This record gives sequence, C-alpha cells and structure tokens, in this order.
Amino acid sequence: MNKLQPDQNILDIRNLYVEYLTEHGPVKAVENVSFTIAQGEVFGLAGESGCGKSTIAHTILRVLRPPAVITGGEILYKGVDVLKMDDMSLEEYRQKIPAIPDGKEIAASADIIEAFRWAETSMVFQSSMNSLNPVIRIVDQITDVLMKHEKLNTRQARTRAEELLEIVNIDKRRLDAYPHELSGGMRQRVVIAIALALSPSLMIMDEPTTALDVVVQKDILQQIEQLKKDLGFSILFITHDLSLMVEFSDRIGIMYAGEIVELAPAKEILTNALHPYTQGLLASFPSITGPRIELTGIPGSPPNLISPPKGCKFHPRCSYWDGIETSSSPPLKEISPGHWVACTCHIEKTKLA
Amino acid sequence: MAVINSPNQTSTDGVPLLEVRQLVKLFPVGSAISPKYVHALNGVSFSVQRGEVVALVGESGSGKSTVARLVVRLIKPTSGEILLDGEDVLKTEAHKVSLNYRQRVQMIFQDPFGSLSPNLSIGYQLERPIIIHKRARGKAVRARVLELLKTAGLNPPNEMIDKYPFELSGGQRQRVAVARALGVEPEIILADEPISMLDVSIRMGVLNLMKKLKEEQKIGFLYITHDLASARYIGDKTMVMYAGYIVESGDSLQLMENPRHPYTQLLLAAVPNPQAGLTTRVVQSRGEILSLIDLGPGCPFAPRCPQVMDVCRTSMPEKATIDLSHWVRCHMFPADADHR
Repeated sequence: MNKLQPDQNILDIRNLYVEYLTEHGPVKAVENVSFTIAQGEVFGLAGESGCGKSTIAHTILRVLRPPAVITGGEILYKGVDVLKMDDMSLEEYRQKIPAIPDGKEIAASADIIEAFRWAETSMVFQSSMNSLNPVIRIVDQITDVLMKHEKLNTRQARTRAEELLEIVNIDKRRLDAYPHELSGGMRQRVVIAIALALSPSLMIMDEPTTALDVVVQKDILQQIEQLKKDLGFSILFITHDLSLMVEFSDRIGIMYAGEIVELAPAKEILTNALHPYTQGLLASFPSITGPRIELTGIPGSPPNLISPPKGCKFHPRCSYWDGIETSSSPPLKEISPGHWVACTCHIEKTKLA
Repeated sequence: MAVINSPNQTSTDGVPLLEVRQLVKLFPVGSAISPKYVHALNGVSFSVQRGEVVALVGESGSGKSTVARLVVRLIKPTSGEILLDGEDVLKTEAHKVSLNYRQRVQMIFQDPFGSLSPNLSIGYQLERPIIIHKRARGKAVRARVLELLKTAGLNPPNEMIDKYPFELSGGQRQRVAVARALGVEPEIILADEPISMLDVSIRMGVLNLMKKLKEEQKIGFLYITHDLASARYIGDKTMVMYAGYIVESGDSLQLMENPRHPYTQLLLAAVPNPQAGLTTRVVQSRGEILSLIDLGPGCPFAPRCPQVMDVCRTSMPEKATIDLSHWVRCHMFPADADHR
C-alpha cells in the first residue's frame, strides 16, 4: 500500500485550463492555474463572481459537464492525476491512493470516480441548505451515502449517522426530521456532516456560509476548525469574503478573471498585499473598529472572459498601470518566500522605490 | 419631540421626517380552529431625520424587512402609527396610499436582477416614475433621466439610457434602482439589503452613492442590513433588532465601540475582523432564534443570553437610556421612568 509521505501534498494542481464553449466563442474560465494544498492545511481561494474559483472546485471533483472542457493541466491528488482516473483499474486505485486513516476500506464499487468522490474528496456547495432533498428524511440522506460506499446494514448506518450529527452539534433526535423542519444553520451542518461521513482527506467548501447569519457562520466555522484538528483533513475554502477567509485560512490564492494573481500565507495577504487587485479587495471591507475612512472599492467591472483585456487582465481597472500594452499575462513570481504575485508595473516600481 | 445635539437638518419645528410608533405586525398562520400568529414586529418605534442614515441591523427573522415593507406601505400594520412630517398617514390616507406618499417614500430592493424589468430599456424605466409623478414633461423628461444617470455614476449617460438590464452588471443595475428612486425626488429612501448580492469590489461604490445623496440632497435613508461593518460605514445611527424588537439603538460609532446589549455584543464578536488579528474568539452561541409563533412573555433573547437572569424569562425589558441617543432594552439596565 502506498503510504502518503508526511510532507507530500494532498492536492497539486498544475497549469490547469478550463473553458466553457459558447456560440460566441470559448469563455476562458480557468487560465494556467497552479497551486498545492498540504495535509491538514486550509487553502483559501478568493475572488469575485466569474473569477473561476467554483469551476476549479467542480473540476477537482470531476463534476464538470459540457459545455465545460478541460483543455490542459493536471490535478494530482495524493500523487495521482484525477483527470486520468477513469483509465485506472480498481487495483491500481487501491494501490496508488493511500487511505487516510490507515486501514480504511476503499470502496468496492467499480466506479473509480464515485469512490473518489465522498470517500477521498467531498464538497459543500454554495447555499447547500437547499441541496438536501426536501422529501427525504435527514437520516436517509446520510445513510444513503454511507451504505453506498461502506458495507453497513441499516442499523449500523443509523448509528454512524447519529455519531456524525453529534460531531456537528445537532441533537440526534433530529435524524428523523425533514429538511424544512430544521433551521438554515442546522441544514448547513447536516450537509457538512454528510461531507464528513466517509472521512475524506480533502474537503472543498464553496461559499459554505454565505446564506447564513453571521453568528451561525462563526459557529459553524469554529466547529469545522475543530473537526479539522481532530480528523486531520485539508480544506479548499472558496469565498468572496476576504475578511472571513483571512481569519480561517492558512494560505490564500487570489483569483481574477481565471488566473491566480497573488498567493501567500493569510497573514501576509492581510499585512502585505502586493497585487493592486488584492489591495483593492482589502480596501472594500469597512472596519468595525477605528476611525471611519472613505473607501472606494475598485472602479470598473470584471472583464468579459470571451475577449478579455490583452496582457494583464486587471490593467483597465488598475491605477498603477504604466500604459504599456503587453501580449500576455504577467507570470506569478515569488517576491518573498512563499509570497507569489503576478504583476509587473506596480511590483517593479515598488522594488525600485 | 426635542432633538438633542442632532447635526442633521430637521424640518422647521424639530419634527422628524419619518417617525414610527409602536408598530406591531402579526402574520396569521395555522387554521381557523387553532389560529396562530407569527409575531414579526412587537412594538417598534424609531425616527429618521432629513439627511440622516439610520441603519437597521438584524439577522433573518428579526423583522427588519417587515419594517421596510410597512413603512413603504406594501403591507398594513396590525397596529401602530407611521408619521411623515408629523402626520399619521395610516389615519389621513387609511385605505389607499396616495401618489404623494409614494413620491416621498421610495424603496431600493435587495435583488438587482429582480427589481428591473428585463424587457424595458433603462431610459424607459427611469422615465415612467417621473412622468407618473409629474416631475417633468416633454423634452425635460429625457434631460432629467440623463441627469439621474450621471448622478448615479452610470456613464456615459447617453449610452446607458438605451441599454437593457441584461447588458448591465449587478452593481450597475443597483445604481439604476437608486436612480429610479431618485427620479421622483423622494425625501426618504428605504434600502433593503441593497449591496448584499453585489460583488465586494462594487459595494463601496453603491454605498458611497447613498452617502453622497444624503449629504448633498439631504435625503433620509433607512439602511437595512445584516452586515454591521457597512452599517457602521454609512449609518449615523444604528438600531439592532432581534425577534421583532429593537434591542439597542444609538450613534453607530458609539454603539459598536461600546455595545451594551448581549445580542449586540454577540453580533460584533461574530463579525470577521481581520484587522483585529487572527485570534479565533470563541463565540458562545447556544441555539438560534426560537419560533416567532410561541414567543412567550419574556425577552426573546433569554434562551441564548450568556447573562440571562430569572426576570428575563418572565418580562420584556423596557427602554433604558445609556446617554444622549444611546438606549438599550435589557434587564441589566434600569428602565427609564417614562418609557415609551
């Protein structure tokens, strides 16, 4: 059995390209995105609508459907390319994907991708309080996932479901309820419980708390933080709320128009954001302490992804643009250890200053 | 009603622009045999001055949107008074809302995609209220529309005027909604979560526009939100709602610097605040808002309150003045002698 090395990354995305084919031309949703997620790490992917973050999440889970097309790159999960998993045999899968925790039974079903989903990687979608089946009791929605992947009878599955509800702090008597009988925050926690059901090594959360009130949001994220410490999984945390992300993530990637424009430890992003877009984003959050300062946000609007601006995609909205039209996006450069930025105008000037 | 230390312009004799007194709203649910009611509002009173932004903060179920719908008169209150410039409109125009009221009290909704008609041009949608309310005629209408587009930051106006909503971004559509409300020259605008569906980098632009209108045109705003940070940014006064009651109200900066009500403290502690550092403060939140149907006699926050006392379960606390305009409804503070 292939054992995962302690310093081996759970996820290693290399030069990923994803497009959506439309009658007006291909929408370049993800352009040359690369990043890694270490074991037990929370990696935040921040950006506004249309930046490509949700597309990346769907690509990892292999839930993209036409007109979405993966046009390049690799997604290495525990060293194995997820994009080529269909071609693996079950033996190969069992051999190459080390189970965490050790000794966990890998699913016996013939569908490799299905075994990968839920057991290795699971996802909490946006507004997932609405993704529970309204006509099926909570217990059945949890045991359904359990019994598909593990050899459990109904009673064993129910016991396991009770344990899962306990983990997310819901009274197990609510198991027999229908989704509409629970509050929004509770439904969200049920979805998180389902995502944890098979002890995945990587959990992807796409705006998991946007539809929730701020108090419930804090409560849920604290619980997830604790669960992560106890169970040891990694998290890919996707949101547009940068202030929330800085509190919760270890490292953050800022996305703009399909590209990563800055990548750094969370604290660095907060204290030393280098890309003008990141600076603009941070300046869009009014504070609840200190003096009232006039904030401006970022002028202009996100670009058209069918015909994006030439060169740096942010330049039309950038106050630091030096007026030179370039032919390709600036590459990500490591400005200081662990801190990568894709910017030429501003960074060069800052270095010279 | 005397106004102490108000920096804002009030109408000639100190009467607030908008005053709401003891608004109660019950929504009937259940059946004829066992009638039940959702207690959406349980006696809400507040005022808005000209050129003042009052932020109404609360989570879902607090009743804040019900307040907006009552003030803009989309629904009728179960009891209470709504006074515009001192006149109780529920008495003077009890059955049909006058055009005059609609001109003076305008609303901006949360969903920028839902509040504009998809098959009418921007220009047409801005024209209609102006014509209906007779604010301009003939050629002056188009001129007014162009002016509104410019004020709302939709440039260039002569191109925007012929566009359709689908050609605009969320932020631009919300600016159209503001322009539309402005067209009839309102005195007060109710904005119900106007930026929560917009991209983060666009939000400030819309908030700054509202700020500009308040300062330059002395329009009063009731800004409804669940986001404390934006309430602090734009609100002169902030009111915190819980389960149909206003539980704390005061100057925005003061209230957030020194919150008195345990619920306000809970809200402030829960707001992500990266500037304060990355320490995770543990928020003790036991449970969520209870059903608004079986509210009971005590303070609705009692089940969740870290400082709950016996009296909290049996009676709802009355207003207690902290100082100047800052008051709170909490048994930890002695109620004013002449509470209203």
